[in-house]
Amino acid sequence: MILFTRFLRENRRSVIGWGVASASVCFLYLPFYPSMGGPELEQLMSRMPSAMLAVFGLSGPLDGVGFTHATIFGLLGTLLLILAAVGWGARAVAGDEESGALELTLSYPVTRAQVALQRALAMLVLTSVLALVVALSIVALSGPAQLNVAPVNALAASTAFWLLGLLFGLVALAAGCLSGRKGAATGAGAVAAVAAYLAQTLGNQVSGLEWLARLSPFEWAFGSEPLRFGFSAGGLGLLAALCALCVVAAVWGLQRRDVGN
Amino acid sequence: MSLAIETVGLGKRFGSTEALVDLDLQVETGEVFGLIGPNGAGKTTTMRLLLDVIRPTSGRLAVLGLEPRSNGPRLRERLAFLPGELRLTSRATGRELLDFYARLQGGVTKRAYEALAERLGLDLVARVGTLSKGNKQKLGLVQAFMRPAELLILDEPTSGLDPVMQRVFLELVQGAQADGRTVLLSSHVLSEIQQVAGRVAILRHGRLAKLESVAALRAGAPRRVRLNARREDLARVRGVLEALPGLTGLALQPSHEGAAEGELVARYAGAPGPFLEAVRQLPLTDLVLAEPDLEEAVMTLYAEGDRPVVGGGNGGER
Repeated sequence: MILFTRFLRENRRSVIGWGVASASVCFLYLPFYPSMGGPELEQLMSRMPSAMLAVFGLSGPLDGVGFTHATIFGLLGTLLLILAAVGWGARAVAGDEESGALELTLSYPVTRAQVALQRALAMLVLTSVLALVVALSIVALSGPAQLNVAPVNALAASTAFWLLGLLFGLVALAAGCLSGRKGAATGAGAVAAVAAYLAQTLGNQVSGLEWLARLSPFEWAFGSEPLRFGFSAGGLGLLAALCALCVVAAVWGLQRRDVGN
Repeated sequence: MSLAIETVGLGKRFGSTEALVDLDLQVETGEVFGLIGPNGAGKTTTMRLLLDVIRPTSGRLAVLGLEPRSNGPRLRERLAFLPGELRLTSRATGRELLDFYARLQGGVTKRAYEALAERLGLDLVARVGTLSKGNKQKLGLVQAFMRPAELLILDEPTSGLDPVMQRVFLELVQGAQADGRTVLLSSHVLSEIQQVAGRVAILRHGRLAKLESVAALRAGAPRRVRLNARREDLARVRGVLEALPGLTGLALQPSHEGAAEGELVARYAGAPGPFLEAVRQLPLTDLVLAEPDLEEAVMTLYAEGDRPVVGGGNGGER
């Protein structure tokens, strides 16, 4: 597990930075709920077009749970997690390869499968740290900010959030393993995330395109409103399966090709 | 099996570029073997093939008697490698990174890399990303030499090292050889490795241009010649030299107006006997017969190889 611990250690600072940013988002937005809630907000909301509200994840009633989902999981929190995960995924193999460090690592008695798997595992741990920071922040603020989020539901939503972020990180990892290019890896992760987001938003807005939303990992993660209703095995299962598929692609991609150049 | 490396018809193509063509190479156990050639000659490609970092498109190869791809970690446990382009960017300190590599190898003690770092004057406390090119190269050398390898594969090991460290490096190679280890090393220039390498393969455009012992190369290498004579004798001196086999590039150096002496320069490849015999009778005022120039010998080889390939003009690689 030396490759695993090394990658964790290399990204120690990075995970602290993203963790502070994620906690800041929670602590800056959520305490505003009591001052924003009530009739004024409801009135404001009713004047906005529903399509615009949906873009920000405001589909359900705007109680404490709806507000928490919209600000954290519907917007900034998820954006931060995906940015962090794609960055780690692109660096894990492709970044290492571009700097020439990967070929040195591969000259040691390790297999390429070990390199890809241990770094994927490290990404799983790094993203889980951010998800845990968000879950704990919500639980801590739920009382003071009158959000009324049950701790188990905070955990359920954060688990979906975690797997969603990890997925796009692993897309970047797999693209890096297949191409050896950091730019391609970052691009693949970003394009996948944007496409999945658009698929969910369009699918939920345009009648006749509901099938599009059902294909989106965003829908798998949050379609069942885990922050309100708790764990939903189906969506988490789909996310986990797609994550596993990315890891398989990463291992296969790295094993089959020339490293370097 | 006493061959550390054996390649038969080894070839590697990247797209439409032939990086290595039909290479037959045999490196014996315990040998210090050099790969010489300009950029793009196939040195790095050959080394990466040996390590299974890249895979051949044709031919076969055996490293310590094993095929690299199918033997993976079992083989690489017995190797050490210094990459040619090591742009370490890590925030880790030198000690942390060497500790990581030591554990990746298994069985390398802290004392092993600390002793090497001290010998090369490498600061283990500084962050790797902030090290100068020369210090990164030292770190690369430490991780290579700390491994209990039977075969060391070193790509451009002396690049970025100052003359003092180059000497330390040569001692490390000699020490490895004394321990019965095999060393394969590459360089642009023969002069940096001629003191340790027994044999060298000269690569050009991915092909083996020449495989020779350093001693034989030296024997065939041209020497620079300078002869001084009074102006009235110059014509006679020229006449004798022009008739001497192995002497090329004879030219009169431009000199000051009205100087009483003229200076001739040339290159001479061959045994010293005939040269001395020829110049013995000449009325020279000064004579310099320089050391054999190995670089010159290698350059000559590159040039020779170019002739059949390039139809006319210069620089046309394909």
